Amino acid sequence: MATAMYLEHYLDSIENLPCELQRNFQLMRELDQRTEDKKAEIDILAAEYISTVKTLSPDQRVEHLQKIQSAYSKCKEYSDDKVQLAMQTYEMVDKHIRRLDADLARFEADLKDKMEGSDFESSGGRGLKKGRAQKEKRGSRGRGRRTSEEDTPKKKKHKGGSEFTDTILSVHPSDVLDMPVDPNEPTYCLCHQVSYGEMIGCDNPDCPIEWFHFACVDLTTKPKGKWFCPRCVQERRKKK
Amino acid sequence: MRKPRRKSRQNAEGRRSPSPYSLKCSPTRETLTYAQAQRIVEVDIDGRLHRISIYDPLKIITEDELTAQDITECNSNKENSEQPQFPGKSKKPSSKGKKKESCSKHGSGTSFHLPQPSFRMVDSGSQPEAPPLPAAYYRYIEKPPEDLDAEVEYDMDEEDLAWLDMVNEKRRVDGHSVVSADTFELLVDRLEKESYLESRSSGAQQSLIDEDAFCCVCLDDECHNSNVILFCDICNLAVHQECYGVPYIPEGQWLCRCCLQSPSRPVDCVLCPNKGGAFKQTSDGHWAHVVCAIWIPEVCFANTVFLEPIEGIDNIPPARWKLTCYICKQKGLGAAIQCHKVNCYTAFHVTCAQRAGLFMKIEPMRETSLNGTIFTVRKTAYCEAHSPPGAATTRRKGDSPGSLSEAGDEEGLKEGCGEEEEKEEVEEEEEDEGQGGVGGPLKGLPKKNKMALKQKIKKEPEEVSRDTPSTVPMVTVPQIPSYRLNKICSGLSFQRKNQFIQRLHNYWLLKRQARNGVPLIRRLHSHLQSQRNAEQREQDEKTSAVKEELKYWQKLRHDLERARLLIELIRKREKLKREQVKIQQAAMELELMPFNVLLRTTLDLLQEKDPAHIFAEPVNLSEVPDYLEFISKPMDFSTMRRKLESHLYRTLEEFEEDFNLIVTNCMKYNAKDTIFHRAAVRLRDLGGAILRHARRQAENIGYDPERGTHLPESPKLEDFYRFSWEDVDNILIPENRAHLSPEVQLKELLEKLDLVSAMRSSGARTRRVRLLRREINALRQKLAQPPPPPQPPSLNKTVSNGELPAEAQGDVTVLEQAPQEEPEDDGDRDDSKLPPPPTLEPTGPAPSLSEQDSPPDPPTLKPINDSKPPSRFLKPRKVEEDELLEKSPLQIGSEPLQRLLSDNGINRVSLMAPDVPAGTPLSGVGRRTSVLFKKAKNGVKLQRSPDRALENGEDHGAVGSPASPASIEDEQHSRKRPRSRSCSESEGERSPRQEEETGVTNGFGKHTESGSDSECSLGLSGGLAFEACSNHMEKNWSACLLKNSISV
Repeated sequence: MATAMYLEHYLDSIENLPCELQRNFQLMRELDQRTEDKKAEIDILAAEYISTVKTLSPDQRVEHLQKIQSAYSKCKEYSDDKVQLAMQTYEMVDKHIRRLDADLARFEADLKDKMEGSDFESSGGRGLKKGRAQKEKRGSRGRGRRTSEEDTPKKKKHKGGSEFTDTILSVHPSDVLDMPVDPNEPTYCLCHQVSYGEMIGCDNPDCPIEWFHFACVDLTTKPKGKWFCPRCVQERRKKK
Repeated sequence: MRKPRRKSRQNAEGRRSPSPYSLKCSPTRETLTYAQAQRIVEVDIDGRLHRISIYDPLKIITEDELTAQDITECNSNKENSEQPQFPGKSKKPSSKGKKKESCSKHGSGTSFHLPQPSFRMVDSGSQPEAPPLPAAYYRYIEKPPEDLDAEVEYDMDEEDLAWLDMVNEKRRVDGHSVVSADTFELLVDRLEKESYLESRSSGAQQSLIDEDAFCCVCLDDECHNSNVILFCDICNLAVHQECYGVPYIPEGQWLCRCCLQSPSRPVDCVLCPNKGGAFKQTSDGHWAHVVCAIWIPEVCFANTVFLEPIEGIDNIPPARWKLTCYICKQKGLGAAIQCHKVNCYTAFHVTCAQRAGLFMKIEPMRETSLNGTIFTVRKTAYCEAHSPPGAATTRRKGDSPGSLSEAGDEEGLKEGCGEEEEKEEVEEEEEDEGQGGVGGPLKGLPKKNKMALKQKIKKEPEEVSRDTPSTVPMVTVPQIPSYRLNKICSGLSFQRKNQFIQRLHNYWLLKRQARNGVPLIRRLHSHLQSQRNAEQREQDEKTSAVKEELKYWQKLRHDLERARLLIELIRKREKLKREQVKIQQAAMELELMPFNVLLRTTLDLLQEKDPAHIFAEPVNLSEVPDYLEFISKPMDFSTMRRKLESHLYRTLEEFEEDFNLIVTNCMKYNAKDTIFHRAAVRLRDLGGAILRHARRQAENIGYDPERGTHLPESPKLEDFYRFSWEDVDNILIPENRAHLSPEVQLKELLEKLDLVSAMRSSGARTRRVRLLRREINALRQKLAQPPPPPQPPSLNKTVSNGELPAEAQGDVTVLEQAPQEEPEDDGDRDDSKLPPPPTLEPTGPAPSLSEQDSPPDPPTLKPINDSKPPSRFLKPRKVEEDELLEKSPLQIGSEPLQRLLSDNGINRVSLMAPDVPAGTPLSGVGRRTSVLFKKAKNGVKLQRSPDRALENGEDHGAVGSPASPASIEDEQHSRKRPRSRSCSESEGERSPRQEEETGVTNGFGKHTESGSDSECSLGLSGGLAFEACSNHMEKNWSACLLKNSISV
């Protein structure tokens, strides 16, 4: 369909994604392997050190320890690389998702325009179930979160439009949002729940939790400027 | 003649035909005309079909000729390898040059003789090289449409021939020339093409070309000569011959049952809610999908050859009708089947499952039982969750939208599942049919048509176009305008052309209408068909297509979401791993060099106490060029750190030594009232506590000084952490410690105080701390009770006798003075009565004394002399030094004093060790540094500080010249114990000549020291302003010492 041309383009663009993911994962795996190798090496070195330390002069000791240290720094390097890689991959997928969301929104809008006026029998739209909204994460580098998709079809319903369109669109949230909660889905926030609704990211890069539900941190709107989670605020106070 | 379209794709070698009935070796039915077929006998041998012309001679072959290969072939034939029914007779279909040898099986009675090979040698005659064969013998090159347009594609059929004959008859009667068949074909062809152009130009767009069409029953696109995919000429339904029960391909058009029998209205399947697909009628006049009928166990086909009508709908139990399909979620529509996994009750419609691409497999089974061979069909279908692994792997490329997302879905759902399968038995006729030679070419096929319905159903979503029911097309034959007609026939010339053209046109129109408007040329038809479809179902299609598409995109979105989730998890994992590495490194460091770690943290803590970074870096010699003249061994934190990192510290003592060096150096070089001096004092005080703590830790952890690692087993934990309130309470009762000397008591108390104050704060703690303090003070007071003045002389005398115990007492005397001050500290400070200055000394040093003197010893009550091991250590050296220094006779007299002092110093050092690193030594040093500092300050070397002029009078000379070399020498001598060294050094400085003055100087030394001590204690006791205090004590202390010296 002509309307879906951009969606087709999207398909083309996403074609490489699996390959890239695979490549990145492969890379990570390699790095992981190397880290493991290094760790084994370290273990050997450490055992050696402990067994010979009595006979070593301070200089030799330092030298030996230096070796271990350098191995460790290599390990850390690899770990950093891996984290970097993971972030990068995440960004990549996220970019795709955002693009898809935009395209889908366009698609829906197009569809609405098209269907406007024309009467189609609707097979009885399934009720709009409230589900978990996909959170828009990392998108705008921090707290900027779009309102969840859940709202989109709702709004449309209020605005009106042909019944048909609504029927089709109502499939959207229920289908996507009804998806079972992945047991592996990471949990966030002080409440240790999966993400839903609007989330806010702590501006402390080392924050162990990273994301918080608005409600759990007593927020209703996005705060201006930097925001730190309660824990990080405490930490910072302690430091000062 | 209309031929069924056939897949142009070649069968890959070795690939199994989708149907068990594929006939590979015989002439195919398609190549035979009906007449030929009538003269053919079909024989099924070893599960293979052979068609043999009845005219072909049959050779008799003995079973000897049966090669082993044939036997194995025979046995391994999986499908319908029924035994041939004609024993003893074998045939060789030579007509087609088949090399197939059929076997004949004799009764067991005949004996077997292995055939003897007979051969003869042929004289070497090399065979000529065969010319290389071309890669392909035949190649089909499709002509471009333009060329095809120019060609005549139409073939006459019998109808046309008859019509043409009639027309020609008439023409002949009228006296006109006969129109040839070629001309007829040409004209019809042109008409077709014209009408096609017409319809195309009327604005329909092109759409689907089903080159990759697949049978909608088995979802397979395999196409064999014996089992081709047929296309309905109206609705374009694609089915295998065997799947739809079309054993013989009709000439001309072929219509599916529903187009044939219910052309005007779409039919609905009674077994499922889905529209479109291959329908057959049921026995009661309804319609149902062929697939539904195959899969629903209760339902069967009345005629298994033609697969119709569908029977047994009534047998379906009501429970089945009530199942809710989990795919379409529609209730009460049709009958559903259930997942074949044991405990899975997931239900789905057959067609829904097909569309969703679930795992559905039909495999023929053969069971040999007593009453012959029974053919069984095993049908297995699993719900999404139980699809066996690998089921999703066979997937064709270029599939329509939707498959991608499905693939995504399935990926997560692959899990092994047991082979729980439902069996449905289909009784098959014993295989005697083929032999009878009854039927024509049809005969080979009719068997087990049901089983022919595909073994495997690939997961392939149906094309969108097929989802919607194919309504019967309106019969529209585009009118061809007359001018175009004229143009068509312009190239031809025969009589009464126009009239003939008119008639032909009419005939053509009728013929088209008879065929429901389907073009007569196949090629055009497919184009037209799709176009028409597009038009017809535009609306319907649009909605469903849009829905599909939207769903597809949403699935994609979902998949992406999952991918993102996965990566998020990975990211978290990697972060954790990074943390792990860091922690591991720290752990490893602790394991390999725990001592260094301890030292490092200690050093860090120490450095924290130096906020101004006075001691952080080495003294800049360009700023104070004379520094090295006075300080032989500069030390600073960075140097310490360097030493630490290069593992030069083996024991805590070495470390401590360096720290003390920092302090003493500073105090030596700088005058007492400079900020540097004060900083040093402060550092000494605060650092003392830290070092004390470090020592305690080190003792508790237990280090191997040789290796800098932990001891193989942790030392017995000292009482330090095994501490109970009872101990404290016990010691608080004076009777319990009555047997101890006051000094030891004090020590004990101080230790307890130290301990208790380290506890977590609580009511019990504060109370006990208070009690302990009171006790300590009381004890001190008691110790101070005996008047100090008389004692020193006697003490000194004993000391001069060289008795060590006296030293101890000397110690005590010094200590004695302490308690007196304590109350003062607490009470009025301005009271300038006489409280001996060193009061503070004990408070500071006492705890350290207990620690240093008896580090590993629990604070058991010990005899007095036990408290002095350090001084014993130092003794030899000190004596040496003393001897060295006291060459002059005069010195002898001063020795006791020096002893005393040195002992004091040592004691103090040892007592104060961590807390107050340099006690006595500073006395000498302080004096000098004060001077030196002034010197440096004023730039005048010998200038004295005005305020000290009197006291330092003679002293100055001694300090100026002889002292420094000696001291340096000394320092070099005794690296180990800078404090004691500096102490002795200070003694050394005091030349015997200045004996008298030494007292004074010492007094001053003491005063500085006491000042610092008091500072220290003050710092410890609560950070009171030490300035006033020290000033104030200065006098007292000096006075006291003066007395001492005088008495000497």
